[in-house]
Amino acid sequence: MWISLLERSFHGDGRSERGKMTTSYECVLCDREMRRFTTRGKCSYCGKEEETDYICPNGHYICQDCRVAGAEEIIKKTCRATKERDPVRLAVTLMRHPAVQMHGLEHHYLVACILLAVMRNSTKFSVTDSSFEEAVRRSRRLPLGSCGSMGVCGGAAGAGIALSIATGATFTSDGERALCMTVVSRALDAIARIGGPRCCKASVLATLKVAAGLIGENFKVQIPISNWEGKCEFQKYNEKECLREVCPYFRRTE
Amino acid sequence: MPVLQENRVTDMKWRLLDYEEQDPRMNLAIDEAILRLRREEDLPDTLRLWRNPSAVVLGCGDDMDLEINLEACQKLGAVVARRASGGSTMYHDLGSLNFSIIISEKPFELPRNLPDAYRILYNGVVTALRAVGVEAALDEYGQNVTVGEKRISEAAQYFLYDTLLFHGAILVDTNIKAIESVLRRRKSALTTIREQLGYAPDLNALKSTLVKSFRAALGIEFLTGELTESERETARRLYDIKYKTEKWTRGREDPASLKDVLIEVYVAYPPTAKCNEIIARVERVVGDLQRSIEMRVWMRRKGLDGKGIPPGVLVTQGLKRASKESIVPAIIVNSEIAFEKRVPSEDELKAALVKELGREGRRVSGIHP
Repeated sequence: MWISLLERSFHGDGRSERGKMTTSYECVLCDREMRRFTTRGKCSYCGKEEETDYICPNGHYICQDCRVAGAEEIIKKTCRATKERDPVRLAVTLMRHPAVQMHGLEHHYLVACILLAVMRNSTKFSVTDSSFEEAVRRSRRLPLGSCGSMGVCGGAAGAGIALSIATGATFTSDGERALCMTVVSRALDAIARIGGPRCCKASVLATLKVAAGLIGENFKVQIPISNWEGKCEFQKYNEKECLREVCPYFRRTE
Repeated sequence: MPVLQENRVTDMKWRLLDYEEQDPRMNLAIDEAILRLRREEDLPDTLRLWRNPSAVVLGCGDDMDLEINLEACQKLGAVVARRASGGSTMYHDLGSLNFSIIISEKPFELPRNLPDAYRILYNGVVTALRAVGVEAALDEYGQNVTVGEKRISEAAQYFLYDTLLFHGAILVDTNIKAIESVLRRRKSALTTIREQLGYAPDLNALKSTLVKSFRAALGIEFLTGELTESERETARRLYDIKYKTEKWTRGREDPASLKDVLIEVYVAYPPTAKCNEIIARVERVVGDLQRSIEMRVWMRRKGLDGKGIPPGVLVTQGLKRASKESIVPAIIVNSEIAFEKRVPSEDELKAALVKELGREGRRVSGIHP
């Protein structure tokens, strides 16, 4: 659940107003305290420029629309607009958004949309806005928990979906079809090696690493990818199920 | 002993409340009322000493049918009640002396490690028992006092925001045979002060010893006080809507609010202009209606399953749905999402609230996140 009580409870009889309205907010992207400041700012997600209300000292601003967006909307909007070429950086930015939960179906299309975005940004691929719609549509066919119920992690399948859309693969294709299946099988292998219970964050990061390598190899493009091993910032939301030291992304210093 | 003035005391001066009612469920309601108002009205930290007539007191999560032999309870005339705190089912009678400590964590600076905190609080009981000649010691969890292998006191706790209710029973001259007959799953052996000493100490003398021991153990002063009118009123309300109901005692259904209607506004973090407009509009309408409506504002934040929700605050199914489905902003009236992603007019809001106020059985239960 993604909620926190704003420190206000109003009894309606005018008798008491408990506490005060919170006026200090932490930046979703860097945790620094945001301050109320009006200027022209660019949204760190969708890139839209508008008059800011809260902005952090690192210049992060989230526009009014992106602040109320659901997971699908924020992922599609951001991936359509971004110039980012590093899939892990883009994934972490999106996973920090409050609409993206710790685990869940959104990670299936998160992988697909991120890969489409970075493939488009590498200039070798023709990816249109409708590609993202198609990626979400296909990803939604995989049910929640498909890793356990079908042996196919939705994140890994998301990589296959992205390559299928970018290359135009179908069931009658040869090399393109093989590539889609290869990326999924290698990603599944990497995810399976991490162990369980599932962690959608680890599965996304493992898949992106496999996919970036395979895309680079096959299309002779450079996909820069950050190393997120030992840097997980989401483990605090997953205390009960976190694999801790077993997971390559676990942050040991916390 | 000085008498508490206006029920407001400085740090480290607690109110001593020697107060009990005849109905065990009302006694539990009083504990919760003190807890709620400790925070809301800045009342003092409190040590309450009280007794219940024959009663079986379930922990907040206990299954009544698994824990209690209802037939034996009826035969014994024991009232079945459920408390707000966790822990195992307990039996009370006039041979048990109960204590309730209600403190704000802030001035007292309790250790964050809860067993350590309970150990500090429970020390008063251990010292008092030793003072009357019982070789008592705290168990490793700091939540039971034992004599050898047998328990002589058990306690449980409940947090509401940063306010703690730590309450327990000391078995002075409790009918242990009754415990064996009414509790189905009692595992630990029990003993009483009477069993240990061969006689039951005078109750008032024991209370005095207990107060002295708490004073020494916690380094605090006590001022004799009484329940405030607002605590009495809240206790009555809690009794009516929670403690005397089957929904709570059998069904574990906890009211999400003490008011008739709970309106929750679920907004972005930080709130957008639209969110602020909604908050302001709902506040205006709730204020205009001058009825029993509680308004809560929630923000969508990073976190999972309860992270960020203050302890003891219950959430509704409607809020859970808005959160899960990312419906921001949303206005939830008694657990139903009434308005999604738009700013309703004041008339629309009024109509939704008036309709809810006029509906039978409108109370909404909450869930622990």
